[in-house]
Formats: sequence, C-alpha cells, structure tokens
Amino acid sequence: MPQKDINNRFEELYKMYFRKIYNYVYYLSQDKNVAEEICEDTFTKTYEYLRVSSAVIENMHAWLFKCARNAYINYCRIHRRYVSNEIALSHLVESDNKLDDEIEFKKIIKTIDTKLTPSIYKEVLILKYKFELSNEEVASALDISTDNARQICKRALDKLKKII
Amino acid sequence: MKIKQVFKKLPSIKPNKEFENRLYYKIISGYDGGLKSINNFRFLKYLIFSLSLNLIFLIIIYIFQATHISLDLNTKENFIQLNNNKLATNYSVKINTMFSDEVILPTYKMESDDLISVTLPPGYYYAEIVGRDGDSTRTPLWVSSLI
Repeated sequence: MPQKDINNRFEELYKMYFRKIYNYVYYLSQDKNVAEEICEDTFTKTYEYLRVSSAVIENMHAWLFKCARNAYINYCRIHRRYVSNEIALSHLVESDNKLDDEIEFKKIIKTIDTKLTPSIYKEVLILKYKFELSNEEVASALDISTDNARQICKRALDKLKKII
Repeated sequence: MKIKQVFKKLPSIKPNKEFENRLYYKIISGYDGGLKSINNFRFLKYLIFSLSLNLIFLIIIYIFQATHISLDLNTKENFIQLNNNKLATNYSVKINTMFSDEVILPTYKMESDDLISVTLPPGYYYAEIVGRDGDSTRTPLWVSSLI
C-alpha cells in the first residue's frame, strides 16, 4: 500500500477510535498517564501493522481493543506492584460533577464495583454496552471464544439483576 | 434503571487534546521519511557511532604521533640520531643510560624536522620523550660495540 494511503487509513482509524481506546484503557487503569502510554503503544503498533503487513484486519474495532488490552496487561505485568488490574468505576462518577445528583446511578455503580466479580464481568459489560462491541468483537478483544463471551455476558447480567 | 443504560451512562473521559494531536503527528512523522523517520534515525545512530569511532582512532593516532620520534641508530659511528620527522611539535627528549640513570643528553626541545646526533660509548640507553601533554614514553636504545 502506498505511504499516502497508509497515512489516510491511519488518520481515519485514529479519528474514529482514539477516544474509545483512551476511555477503555482509562476504565481499566484509572490513570490518565497509563491511558496515554497504552494509546501510544496501541496506535504505534497499528500504524506499523498497516505499514508492514499486507494482510487486511477484518475487524479493526475489535483488533484495536485487543491490542490495547494486551498492551495494558503487559504494562501491568511490568508494573505489577503499582498497578491494579481490577476495574473500578466509582471514581468515574465521583469525578464528574454532572452526575453528582444522580444518587441512584452512583449507588448502582458502587454496587457494581463492590459486588460484580470477577472483574471480567465488568469488562465484558463495558465493552458490550459502553463501547458497543458485538459478542464476536468482545470475544476477539478478550481473546476468548464467542460462546464464552456470550456466556460471561449472560452470567454478568444475571448477577447484576440479582444484586441491583 | 436498565443495566444497559447504566453502562452507557458511564462518563467518557476527554483525553488531552494536545496529547491526541501530538501522538498522531509523532506516529505519522516517525515513519514518514525525513530525519524523524525511525529508519533514518537508525542510520543516523550508526553514522554517529562510526564517526565517533573514526574520531577516537584519529585521536589515538595523533597521540601516538605526538609522543613518537623516529630513532635512527647508527652503530658504526656509535652515535644516536633522533629525527623528529612527525608533524607534531613541542617534544622534549632526554637520553639516559639504562642502568645508572646518568644523563647523556639533558632535556632537549625538538621542533618538527629537528635532528640531533649524540655520540655514545657502547651500552644501553633510553630516550625519554615527553609529549605536549606531559606524558612520557621511554624507548630503549642499544649501541653495539661489536662493529
């Protein structure tokens, strides 16, 4: 692919997915610096992939999430003493002034944080409902089978219904 | 409140706009040719590395030149000729006997193309050559009595 086309394709992807990936990593890490670092890693790899590989990625959306997740796991492995791999959502609500009045919402988020375990339940639901990934995309992003992703999602929803 | 809504309602965090733009241009320019390209950067690294190696090599040669004087030993006449045929200047040379440290030729400053001749009885001597940086090297000299 000519360099110009690669750059155009990358620009398109960057505009479309940067914020989603940034938010996803921020949800995972609860740290803006980590989110920036992982985004840099993810998009650098993406650009390199576009430049070097002739193979077309079928689902870029899922591929980017997978890439970001793997980069984050590596980051956690390296900095395991300092970074938690548990997803916490409460701080998102607290940090947003607009949502301060929405007591019910805050309560639900706190319940999700404390009672919805293991962490993969939260991750699947975030990917599916917040970032609007299909079951196949969730499976691809988490490196599991589609059936497994569907099952985790179902279990997570069942558990949530019970605890809310 | 529905579960889907709860997750949809999760606030989106706005990334630092400057970072967002900077990262885009960093990635693009990092691969897009020019001096910032990774390949060119590698080439530059190798270039700097080889140039610095060359420079070190030149410095070593220069230091060697600065302390080296070619010594011509003429055994027939029993004298030593010291010929400063190198480019460097400001040497000083001293010739002593090897074992008793008797000074044969006191410190003698040499400029480029200088030639000194010292007639000596057979024996072992050394020439102490002091470079401009104060480092000295000793070169053994032997005047034979056989011829």
